[in-house]
Amino acid sequence: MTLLLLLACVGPDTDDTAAGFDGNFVLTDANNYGYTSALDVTTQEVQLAHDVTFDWSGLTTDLLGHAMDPATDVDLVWMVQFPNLSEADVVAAILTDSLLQLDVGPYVQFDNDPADTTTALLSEFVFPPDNVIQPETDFVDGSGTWLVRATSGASTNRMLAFARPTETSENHTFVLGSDAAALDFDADLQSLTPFAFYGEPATYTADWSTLATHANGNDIVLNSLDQLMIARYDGMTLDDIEADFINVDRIASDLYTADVYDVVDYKADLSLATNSAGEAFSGFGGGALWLVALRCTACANPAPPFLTVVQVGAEFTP
Amino acid sequence: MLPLVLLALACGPTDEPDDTNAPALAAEATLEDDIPTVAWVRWETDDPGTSWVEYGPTKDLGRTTVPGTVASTAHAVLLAGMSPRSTWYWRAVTEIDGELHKSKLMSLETGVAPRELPEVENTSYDASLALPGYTITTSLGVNAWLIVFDTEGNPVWWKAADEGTVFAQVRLSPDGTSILYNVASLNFGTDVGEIRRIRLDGEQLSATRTVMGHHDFVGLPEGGFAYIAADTREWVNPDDGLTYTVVGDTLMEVPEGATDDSGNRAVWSTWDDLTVAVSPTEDDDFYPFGLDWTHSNSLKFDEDTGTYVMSVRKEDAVAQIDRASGDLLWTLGGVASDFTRTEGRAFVGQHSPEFIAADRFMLFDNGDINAPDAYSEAVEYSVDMDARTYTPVWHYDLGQRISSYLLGDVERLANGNTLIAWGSGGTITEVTPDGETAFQVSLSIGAAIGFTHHIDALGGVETP
Repeated sequence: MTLLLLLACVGPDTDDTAAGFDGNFVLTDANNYGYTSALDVTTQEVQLAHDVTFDWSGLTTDLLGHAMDPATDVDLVWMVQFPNLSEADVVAAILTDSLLQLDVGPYVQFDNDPADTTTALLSEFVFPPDNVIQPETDFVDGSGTWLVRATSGASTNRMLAFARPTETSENHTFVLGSDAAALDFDADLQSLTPFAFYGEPATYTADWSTLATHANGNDIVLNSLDQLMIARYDGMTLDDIEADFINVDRIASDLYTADVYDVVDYKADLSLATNSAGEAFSGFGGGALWLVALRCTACANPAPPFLTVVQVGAEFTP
Repeated sequence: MLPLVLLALACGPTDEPDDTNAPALAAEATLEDDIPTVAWVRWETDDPGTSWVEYGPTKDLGRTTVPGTVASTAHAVLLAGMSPRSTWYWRAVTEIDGELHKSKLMSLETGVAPRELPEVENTSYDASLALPGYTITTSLGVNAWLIVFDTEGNPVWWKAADEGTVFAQVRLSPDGTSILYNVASLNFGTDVGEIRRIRLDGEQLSATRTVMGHHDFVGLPEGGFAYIAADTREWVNPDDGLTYTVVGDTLMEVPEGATDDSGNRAVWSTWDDLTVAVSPTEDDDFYPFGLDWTHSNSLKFDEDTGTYVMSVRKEDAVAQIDRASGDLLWTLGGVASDFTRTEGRAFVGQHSPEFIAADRFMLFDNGDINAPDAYSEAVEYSVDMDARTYTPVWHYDLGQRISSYLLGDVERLANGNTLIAWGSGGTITEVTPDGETAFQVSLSIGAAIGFTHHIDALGGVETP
């Protein structure tokens, strides 16, 4: 893809000093990237009205392609009925984080605590304290769409699949394996207006209080943005990052993150962000590719709602 | 516990000119640590006076706390109902011998709501239709919370449940200065039943032990509470001759602050008058210690008639009980009803029946959740007490979109609208008599809604 050099330069063209930029990134919708996501979720037929066994022992890779331990990384397995939504509706709502309890019929969960099992019967799933799904009466043909969801914690999806009760199926075991679903992104990092500057300010701050649009094109919910991410990519291009965007954090040469949920006014000092070595972010070095993102760690779709490219000085080469 | 308080962020005077020549009161606002949308404003005066605070989201203010009634030189006024992450303006006022003394116009920045609170989505509010004020509710699911929402769906007050416990009922006290709620064990394996009273700043004022208490309670006019308690007994099934452990319910009264059941009075038990109907093979495991028979789920008290109305869910019945005698006066609904329904569908698994006039009552009809195309609805009935008949006269079903398998609530508001909590549907709706949506909040997936009430105002004057 061709890089569009729509530089939002905030420093003078000729002055390569700190005086050129006060260090405050005012993040705007024009700086934001765009993405589309695709979620491929498989459907398994199982015998209706049966106390089906759920088996996630083979779940060693999650829907992002990341390795996981099925016993210790699965905290909850959910069985959620959507009486009035199709499977396609549910997938679309997951991708846009718009699933509402309003759309849910009975839902039950299996609490894998202590984390020592990888199978459970449907009758062992509860909405505490009730066993609100009776297989004989609830898990029947025409009862709507059933989503099976394995999560780390309460909200991080590790794997998804649909269960479809049918009269003809003799399947009594629902297998939630590594190939049950896959999530992929098509990210465009090259149509945005990069945040370009010259100089080396003493401190850097980010202000995202005026953001209005999510990278998926919907309205952004500012108080859902709870993590600031600053990533450096040595020897990589935007094309490289776009090609492996699902691992945008994992492929970074250095990654700084900060929990910004408690930031009242949606403004933060970037030095709050630290890397895996515990080192605080100290500045953007020239010559490398940098991204700054705001993430929603509780959202069903892990793509950052905001992400932009930072260009430092004249040495920047995308 | 005296909570740690944070100095209000960016708290300070504004540039507004004073409108009096008197020296300004020197008042200070402090946000509560756990609920940073609640602030205490404190100041002192040389002479005793009564006080209040004017406050609001703009410099025009617009809200006033309830004026104090006791003159004092030390003043503490609690501000509540403020939205998170926002600037609020305030001015302290003391009336001394008829003269008003005021602080400068000040501002504060409220804090952030906990990230574990259920996310509110799909909010709608029509100021021309809705009753102004707040909505207090309980949420259940991955996390259990007491929450107060403003009309924009912002959480303005909250409290998390203790680990392994759940809330069902929550009410603002009649004087508006405290919140009452009940606590039960999540799986009823351990009896931790209590009714707690907390001040709006989170300070617990009392805890009342409610042995085997569950679902609902109501304040009594002379103080104390009535509550629903699980009543477990051995029962011989006449069909198979076997003995089963069966859980019915008893309507109990307890003085506030009781630490055990020694001061309790049993008013009435389902075992007194109703016929046991349980199925060992179809029990829903609600109680780990017995078969769930009656599953009574809500309670109201009518001071004028001295009667209780209790919802007996698994009998699909509403029962009226005379408080003084403990007599069951009648049941309405279910197989042993003393009343005949003239038309409409039979209510099933209902919650929150309440008389709104001598000849009118409402309830949340959960509906037969196992039926095809099941849906829940709020229903108003007219009742002919002489003819022993009841007739549906109004209902609202949200497009038959929700079939709530747990909880649910309905409340007729002062403006004639109806506030409906959709239980497992995770949604609260204020609807006009014509079925127009005046206000609605819907929680993100994973959060159900418990009992829900409208609140006209929050905040008041107290000295902590």
